[in-house]
Amino acid sequence: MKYVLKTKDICKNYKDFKALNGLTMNVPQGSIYGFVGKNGAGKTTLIRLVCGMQLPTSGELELYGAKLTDKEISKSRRRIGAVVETPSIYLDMTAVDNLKQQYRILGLPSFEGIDEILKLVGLEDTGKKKAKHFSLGMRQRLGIAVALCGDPDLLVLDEPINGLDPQGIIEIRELILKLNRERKITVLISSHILDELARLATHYGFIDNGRIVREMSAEELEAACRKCMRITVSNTSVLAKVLDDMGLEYTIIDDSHADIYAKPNITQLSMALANENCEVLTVEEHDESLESFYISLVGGAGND
Amino acid sequence: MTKLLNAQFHELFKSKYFYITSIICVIFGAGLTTGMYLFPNYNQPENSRLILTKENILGVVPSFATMLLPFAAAATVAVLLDSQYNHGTIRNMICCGHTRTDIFFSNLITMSAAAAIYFVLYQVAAIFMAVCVFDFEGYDLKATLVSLSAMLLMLIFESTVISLLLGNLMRGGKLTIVILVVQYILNISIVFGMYKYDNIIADIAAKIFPQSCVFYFSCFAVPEGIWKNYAVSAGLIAVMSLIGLHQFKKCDIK
Repeated sequence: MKYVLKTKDICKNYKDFKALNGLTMNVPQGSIYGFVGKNGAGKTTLIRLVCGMQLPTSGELELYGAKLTDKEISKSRRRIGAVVETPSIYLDMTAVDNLKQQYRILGLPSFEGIDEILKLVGLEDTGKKKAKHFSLGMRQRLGIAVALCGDPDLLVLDEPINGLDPQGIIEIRELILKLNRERKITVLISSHILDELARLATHYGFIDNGRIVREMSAEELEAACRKCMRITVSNTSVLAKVLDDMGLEYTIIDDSHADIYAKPNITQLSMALANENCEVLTVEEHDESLESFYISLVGGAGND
Repeated sequence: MTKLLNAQFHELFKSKYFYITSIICVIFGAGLTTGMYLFPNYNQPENSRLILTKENILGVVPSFATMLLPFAAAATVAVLLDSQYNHGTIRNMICCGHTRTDIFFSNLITMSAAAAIYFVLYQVAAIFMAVCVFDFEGYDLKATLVSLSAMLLMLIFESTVISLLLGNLMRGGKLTIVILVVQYILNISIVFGMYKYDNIIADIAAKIFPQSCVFYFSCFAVPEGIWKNYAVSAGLIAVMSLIGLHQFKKCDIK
């Protein structure tokens, strides 16, 4: 797998506070990488390091094959578009003027493509309306439009749906999916709104206390959070034999608990177990959400 | 660097503040000439060697730019830098792959150029009023004009670079207020320049800050040892630029 961004044991200290503490992560090309963590976990700090706004205290960061110490890092950064915390826009300019200014900063020879970008983010009809009169969602989309100038290969979005209303959240989500699918842009998106990330991300990095506690693909996460029937029986070895005979997929958790990944006929299963002298104690539907998976990873409130 | 300068100048010329300050400079230049013509002996400081007579308007008014221009330059830095930090422009430039050195120098050049424009507008307005409206003769001593201009430009750059250093140190917040207060304190050296014969500290301060020479120029003469003053100022500008650059390269942008 080809990675656009790799970090190894990266640390960032603010005086005595360790914002990042040996973080290692890999963002695959073409993915939507959901960077999940609670407030203060280190998400924004990492994004600032990736964008060059801050320097790490130690560790390695590689962006499109260029390390931080390489001269080519500036070239690699030109392949990034970023919206860090608040969108970088001039409030007293129109959407078109904002994009023109970004084109100038990038040194692009002409303003071709501005209309296309505005259309892509749904701001083509804003006319002479200045950004200060835009809604929060429109500003966020304008921020993304600015980040899209110069056709970046990697889009870095820090909490892009914070403070947005449901309609705004849907718009941003659809835009991100569109950019990833149609333009093949790799997206690194940080958020603590897990349900929203679950609708977007193809890969996840769970961060806590400045460290990645787990990196996984959406498929792996889906398997971990799969819906199942949790059954409590007097003997799981008997249960395993019966389930094998019935051709059902399952996982034995301990001597009395097992998860069955299907909807079995409970009467049939109970009778088969009764014939083998195995008692069914409880059966309940078990559905681990992304939220509970995250809590199980970082240790919940006790971890604060 | 060229790309950044293009973007920065465009931002400057889009700024309402730049035009307001330019108009203030023109009004100040023209107004001071008129004021000097109408009230030539008003509030003349003692022991200052300042010659306030109608005949010397063209010696006094251009020199008095020292009172306005450092503030105009500092305020330009404050407003532009405040906008860049608060609108995320600096952040954006870094994300786009521009080096911090390029960003620092493009800011320094743009802001110094803005202050130089204020200087030209002030002087043109003052000289235009004196020569075209009140029929004064133009400068007889070109050397004085050249030295005065050099001194004022140096003062502008000094003011700009100090303000830029301060602004980058603060990175947003109340940088406008702090920059203007520091500028006010620096401008006190004009007062030191008046009394430099009486006080050794005032004499040293006067050597560091070129604005203190303003009262010599009002006598239509190039002061003795002006080159020492220029050298100290140029050194100060260079040192401040290097400190500012070093600080900006190492600082954490939020």
